[in-house]
Amino acid sequence: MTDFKINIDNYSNEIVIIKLEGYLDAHTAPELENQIANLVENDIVKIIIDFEKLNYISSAGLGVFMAYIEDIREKGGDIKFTNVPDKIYEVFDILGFPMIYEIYKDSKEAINNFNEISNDQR
Amino acid sequence: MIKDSDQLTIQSSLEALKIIRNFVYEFCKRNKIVEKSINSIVLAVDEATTNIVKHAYKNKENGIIYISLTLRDNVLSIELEDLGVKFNENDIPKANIEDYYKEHKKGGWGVFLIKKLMDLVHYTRSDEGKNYLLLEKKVEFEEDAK
Repeated sequence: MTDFKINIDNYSNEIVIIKLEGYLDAHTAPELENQIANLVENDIVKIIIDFEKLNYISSAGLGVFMAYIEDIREKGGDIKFTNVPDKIYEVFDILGFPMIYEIYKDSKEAINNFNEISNDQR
Repeated sequence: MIKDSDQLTIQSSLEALKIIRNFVYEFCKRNKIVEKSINSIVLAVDEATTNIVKHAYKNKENGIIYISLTLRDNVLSIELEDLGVKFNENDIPKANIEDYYKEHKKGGWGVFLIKKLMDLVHYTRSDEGKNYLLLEKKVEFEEDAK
């Protein structure tokens, strides 16, 4: 039985959707950290995190996003959240995450936002 | 009046977190505590035990964590004990999201979250070198929510 799964969907050359599943805690967070580190290293910095199938998150999991957000934004990217279940949103809210991260209803909205930004820059 | 109580003694490791969460979850569930309270309690205990594993025992897997749950009327008390190094609250940076953003720190929110989620958080260290953390929360029951 795996407690945590990461599904990477390479939506385009630039945008990647990371779908999280199961339990993200101090034990499983390094797995996510490795994945994100790998993307950033390869300059893939437009990242959408889909929380739909995530049952649980602790501060160790949230810390992964905080660790990379600055580098990612410096490289012109962002981490955007989608499909956040209520009980996970409650934890975001306590920590003030909605002030730092953009949260979208679904991946489509987040993708549109990334595309709008690229169009504006052209 | 004590409605229910249970204890768990487990070896310190990050893998033990899921066992600890299940133990707390099952206890709350059998006492018909509402899901919203359960989520807060499970997260607070996870954060506290994560800190024990990482900081008190410094990720060494030979430490023992003792957890005791007691439900008195509508108050759940959680006692956590370990024999690791002393907890120093001054080591915990203030969990201010703006500062974290600037410093992009990965940790340090555990204690902040525990304090937000619980009604009472009390830490003591005994002369024999035991860390003792008491967490308390007033809970709601499924029947009250109806």
